[in-house]
Amino acid sequence: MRISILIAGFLTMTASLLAISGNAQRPEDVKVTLQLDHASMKEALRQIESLTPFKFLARAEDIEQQQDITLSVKNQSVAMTLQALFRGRNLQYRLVGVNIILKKATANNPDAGEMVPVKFRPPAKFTVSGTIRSAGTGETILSATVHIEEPSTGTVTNEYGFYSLPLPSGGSYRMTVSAVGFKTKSLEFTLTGDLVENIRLDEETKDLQEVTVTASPGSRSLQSPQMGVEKLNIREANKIPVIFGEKDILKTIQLLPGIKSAGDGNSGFYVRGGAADQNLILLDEAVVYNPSHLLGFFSTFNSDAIKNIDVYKGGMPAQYGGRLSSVVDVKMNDGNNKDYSVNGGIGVISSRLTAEGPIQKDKSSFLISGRRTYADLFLKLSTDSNVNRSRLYFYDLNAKANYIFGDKDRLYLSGYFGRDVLAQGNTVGINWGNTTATLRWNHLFNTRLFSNTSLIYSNYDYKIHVNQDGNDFDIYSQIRDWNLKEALQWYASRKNTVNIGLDAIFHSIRPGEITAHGNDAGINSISLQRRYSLENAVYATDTWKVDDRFSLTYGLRVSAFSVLGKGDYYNFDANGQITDTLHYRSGQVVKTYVNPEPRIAASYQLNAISSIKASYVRNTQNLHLISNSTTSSPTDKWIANTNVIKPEIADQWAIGYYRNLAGNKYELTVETYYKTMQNQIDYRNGANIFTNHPIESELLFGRGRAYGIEWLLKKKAGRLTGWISYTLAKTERQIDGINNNRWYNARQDRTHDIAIVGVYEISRKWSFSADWVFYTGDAVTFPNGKYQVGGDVYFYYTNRNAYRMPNYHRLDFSFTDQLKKTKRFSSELVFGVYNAYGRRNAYQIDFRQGKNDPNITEAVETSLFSFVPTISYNFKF
Amino acid sequence: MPRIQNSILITTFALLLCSCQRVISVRLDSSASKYVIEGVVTDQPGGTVVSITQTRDFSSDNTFTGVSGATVTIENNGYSYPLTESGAGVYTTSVLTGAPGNTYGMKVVMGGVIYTATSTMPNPVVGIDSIFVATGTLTNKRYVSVIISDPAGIPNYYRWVQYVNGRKEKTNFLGDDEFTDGLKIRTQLDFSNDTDDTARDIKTGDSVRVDMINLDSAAYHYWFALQQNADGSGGSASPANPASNIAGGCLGYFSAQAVRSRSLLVGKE
Repeated sequence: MRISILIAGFLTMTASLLAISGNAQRPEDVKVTLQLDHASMKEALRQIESLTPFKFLARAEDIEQQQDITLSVKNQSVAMTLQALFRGRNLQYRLVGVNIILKKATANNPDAGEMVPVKFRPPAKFTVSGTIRSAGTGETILSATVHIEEPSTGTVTNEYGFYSLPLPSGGSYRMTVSAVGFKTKSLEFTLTGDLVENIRLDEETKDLQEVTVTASPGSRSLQSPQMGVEKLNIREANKIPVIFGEKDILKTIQLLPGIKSAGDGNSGFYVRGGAADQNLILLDEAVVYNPSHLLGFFSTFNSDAIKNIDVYKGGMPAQYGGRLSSVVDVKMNDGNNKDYSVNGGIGVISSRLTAEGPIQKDKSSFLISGRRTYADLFLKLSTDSNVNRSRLYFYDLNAKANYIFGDKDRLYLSGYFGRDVLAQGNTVGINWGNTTATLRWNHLFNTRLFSNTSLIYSNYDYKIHVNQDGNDFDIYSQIRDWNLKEALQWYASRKNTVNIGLDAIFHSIRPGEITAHGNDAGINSISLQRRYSLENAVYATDTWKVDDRFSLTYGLRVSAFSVLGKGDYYNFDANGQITDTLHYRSGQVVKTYVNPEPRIAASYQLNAISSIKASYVRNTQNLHLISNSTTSSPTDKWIANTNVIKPEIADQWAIGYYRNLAGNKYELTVETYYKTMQNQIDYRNGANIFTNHPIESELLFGRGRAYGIEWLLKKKAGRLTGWISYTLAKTERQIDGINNNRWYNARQDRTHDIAIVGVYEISRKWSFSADWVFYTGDAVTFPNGKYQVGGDVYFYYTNRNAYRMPNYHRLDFSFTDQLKKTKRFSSELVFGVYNAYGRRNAYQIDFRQGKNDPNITEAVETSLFSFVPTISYNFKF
Repeated sequence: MPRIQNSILITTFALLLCSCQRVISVRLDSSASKYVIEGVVTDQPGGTVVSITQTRDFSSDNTFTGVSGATVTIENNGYSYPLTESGAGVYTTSVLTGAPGNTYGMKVVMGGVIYTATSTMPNPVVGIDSIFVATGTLTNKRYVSVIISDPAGIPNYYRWVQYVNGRKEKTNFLGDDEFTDGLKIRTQLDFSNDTDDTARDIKTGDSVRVDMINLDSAAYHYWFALQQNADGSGGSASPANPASNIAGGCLGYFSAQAVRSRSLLVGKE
């Protein structure tokens, strides 16, 4: 006998009110309440099925005879009920999983071998799926946890707030949805077919009576094999003090373990021993080539427009590729589709304004966010004509619009435009900036297949203008990408989620063009040849929940990079002299590099509060940033692979231990990694990178290795929240032609790195935050001797990077005063100090002849910021 | 070009930042001493000089005593000119005055090791068309500018040495014609007075002399690398010793170079 799904469904609707929750699935434990009056056995078993997770299997002839059953049980176990049902009827039952197999008990074969049901159909599966949004603004919520208690399963929403969960049919389920910054919501439903449950979560508001923050259970997954990731919540990040009072997510992530700052006044950061150009920085999927303003003081990310940031230091999922050391995936807000709102802030250095609202309520919305500095207004106050004619500013514009049409489709258009300007009157100036645009189409093929198609444009360029004393020319350089991506997420079953996709980018680079104006420009017009390339990748990956404890992600990304003509490419001898020149036509393939990149990760849950994870990933990098100085500059050049410059490759193995302490109040993460790198680039002695000659003649190639251990202890609940992070690490390079071909410390090698961050809610009105950072100095090359040439003193070097800069440490703090908070308007004042105890941290150490006594040589340390006060006013309508 | 970019960025930094400088003490290991040979043949009388010194520890003073007792010869067109030690570690000859277009070889025998090098004096020789003083772009200081005519079609390498009231300015002024081939070029000899020594500044009444040196590619690249990587600046990512064009394992260089000088008296602004 089998109970047909349709009949069961009918009964289930009425019986769902009596749904039973609990972990146990044994007949002894599950309880039912039944009222049977002259019913058939079939009917009785049907009713029990509808009230429990069990399914009955039996031979038709064993059951059909049984008629006229009258039984009344109230909250009795299924076991007792069956006992009552089968009394005197010679029926026995056996439990296999959720199936209860009935058979006639006979004297000679009490266990009559395997039961062959008349018609056996495994329980069918339906899917519950939907999009999770904020109730107040309609913003989709990514990485929200969706958890079903029984059977214990769950998933996490994707970058667009979509989730899909295949479940056995006919059951009643209780679902809990949680996300950081939102109130947890529970709901119940029964599954009689595919179900769409779009859920709205309310924002966690600061209770007027209480100021404690309750820990959200879904903030990190012990079970997911994804490791090496830091998910930064914008709300938390906004409380951390930063220089000049400007919230800056790129500076905030440098307080996390494994992510090291490049130092004061320096943009860029190093992740697990990698160089500054090995970080893939994405804004709504578009690559941002120079994510810094004003030589590194600020990043190009305006926190008002940002929804979420994920930083992958290791275990990068297969959908990301192109850089060796990290992925910083920044997602913009979509725009409030319920109500209009304006928020902004005024600070010492810059001000910002954001406006968002619905275009059509609940269907479409827009967001515009802008920011500008006015540091140059202070310069205008100077009486020095050279200073007051200087222009120094940057501006940023983030814009986004999205439209929901139908249940299955959504379209997004987002863009970023930013520019920095440094100029002295009209005589000399430089401006640079990024432009990105992304068009995306989400499409639901069915409840289990989610697709995202993206068309992306990204551009970075700089322009130098000189018009002084007979020299009149411009220099221009640009990198431009056109990118098409397709990503499919297939929620195949409760145990498997499959991601498949492809990624194709066309790069075109104009390395440098000098345009001379007029007849006596003092310089010749010249253009370095443009460079073209095609960077393609396909990937497939499956996350397989093997059982309740063990999960595995296995996948492969294959990248193929083709260097294209039109252009001239060269072969070189060992000294960097050109031996051949090869001419290529437009579109002709110079060389293709194919690299398979395995991405494997596994997690094993030791118990409810701890797990261990391990991963191995290979990453390839095809674009390289050429920069020969210690500070990054907007004129650093991006170059693509050539016939000589090969893709950089990194293999990273990592293991981690994760534990939640004191009932989710604390999170402890310990990760250790080992990374090997191939085809790393360094420069010949005396390299001139601003040359017309092929850049390959200035480069040397070799290998690298990095390893370390990272600790993070995070407190998530209570008046005081924050974290302590500690990294112990090493990174080295070995390049023939440098340091006598021996291994040497990479410039960014930094042994100890500590950050302590705390945010304390003093009262409803006041909060206080502080951070203290300490790190041992970078590896640096200092001289061992000196000599005289042309009557002046020069310095003699032996080993590369064998010395250390002095230790760096500083304390920052800030106070936030909530001035006003009503439904319509809220405002706050933030003030604090950067480098509160004024430690003189070395920015650079130079050696020179004594200033006062030229007969000796001395070391001079330059330090930048001490006691920098910050103040800003933020408001929201 | 890179100078313009750098000067913009550096000046911006100076404007923006409240930066502080102080002298610190750094413990530096010493290393075995190495010879430093500077060999020059010019087209001016008395311009053939080879000086030999040694490296010293960082903590020592700056008296670099010359190394005596070396055997030094310059060779050209099959003729070998021996140099005699006229001062401690300074070897000269009055017999040889170089000529443009010629190739010269230097041979130093010292401590049982032979050091050799060759260099070709550039031809034609480029001189200074005009010289004047003007105020800088981003500061109020005055700098010397020179205008030269670069010969088209051949690579040219230049170095200028500036003397203010007879005292040599230690900044290296270098230039090549990669982007300016065949043009009339104005070069402003900018320098940063990082020691705040007023004697280095150019003021009304000062007597200024600029030597324009035409050198060959190897000598130019030596000076370029010396200035970029060995002048002690912490801004270089890879400080290293410049590749010497002298074989044998010493520091220094050998250059056959043509020199043209111009002087001027600095007038009022």
